Amino acid sequence: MRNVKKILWEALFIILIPVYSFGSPKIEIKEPWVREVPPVSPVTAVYMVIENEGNEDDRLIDVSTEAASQAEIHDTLIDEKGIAKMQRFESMDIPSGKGVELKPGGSHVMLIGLKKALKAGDKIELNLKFEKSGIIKIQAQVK
Amino acid sequence: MKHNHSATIALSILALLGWGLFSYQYIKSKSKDNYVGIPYYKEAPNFTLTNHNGEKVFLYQFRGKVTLIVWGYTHCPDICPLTLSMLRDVMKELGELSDKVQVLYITVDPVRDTPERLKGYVPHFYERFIGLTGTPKEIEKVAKDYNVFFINHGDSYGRSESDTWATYLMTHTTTIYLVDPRGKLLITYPYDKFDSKGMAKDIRKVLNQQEERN
Ligand SMILES: [Cu+2]
Repeated sequence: MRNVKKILWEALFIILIPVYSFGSPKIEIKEPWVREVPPVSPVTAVYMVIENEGNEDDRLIDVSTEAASQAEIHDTLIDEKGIAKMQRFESMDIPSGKGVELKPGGSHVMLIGLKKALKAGDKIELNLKFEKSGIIKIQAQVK
Repeated sequence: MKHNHSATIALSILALLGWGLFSYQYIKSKSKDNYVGIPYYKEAPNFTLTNHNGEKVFLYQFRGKVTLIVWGYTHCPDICPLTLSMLRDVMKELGELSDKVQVLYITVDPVRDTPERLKGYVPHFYERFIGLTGTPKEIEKVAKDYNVFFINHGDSYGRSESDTWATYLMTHTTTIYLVDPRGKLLITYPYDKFDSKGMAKDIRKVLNQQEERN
């Protein structure tokens, strides 16, 4: 009887291991940077690589920073005629095993209403909020 | 014997083809039209606009130089700083030859981009870059002449009236136009041809051709 109970517990444990330890995204932010813009400009963009080494997808759902009154998830689309259009998104998918690159001429976090001019070498702090991974704080260097 | 004959013919044809291909590649590589950008060939339409110091300037006064015309607006966070930084790299790449190149940045947002505003923006990237503005009508005319598209993207952008940062974005052509020292619109650079080394190479070529003509 005692043995059966032990086996059952072990079985439950073995079943739960994969659920607990594998079913989650693993977000890592690499090389975040902010573009230096002339002091008269109230806007700029933040770029980075968002990696997801986990085996579950995640989503970037919000960005905030003390450096600007608003931070939004954007994408620049350039069509075959060379016309650039910027679009705002409520969220950004971060697929597992792939990750996403935010880069000039593509996806970016747009900072609107900069509170002070950012100079090359400055650092700003951003809070990236993910649906599953929660808030990740990053430091992005201005360059 | 018959087989041998056809083999010889086949070989000769192959040799001819090879030679033809080689000559074609050779001529192409020597050709003056072999640019990184896309050859355009058109007389560059003249225009008169206001520079970032409030003075009237017209395109023809830059004859003798390679003029690079770009379009943008100062509330642009991504593509415009990217373009102007790339053009600064072109100037660095050119070294002393950069004296023979003039970048003109024409705003597609003349309502917000006054000369003062452009003055705080354009030379920040490179001191000799010139920002140009005008009345909305003047800008519209120049854009039309150069087949440049722009639209105020604000209304479809979905901001509410209560937003603290009352603003709008522009959708616009990002292509760079190269006008040669004779005033010919010679090459265009759509976004996928943005490459400072390649552009510098083209500019050297254009300036060399000009020297040869003189
Ligand atoms: Cu944006």
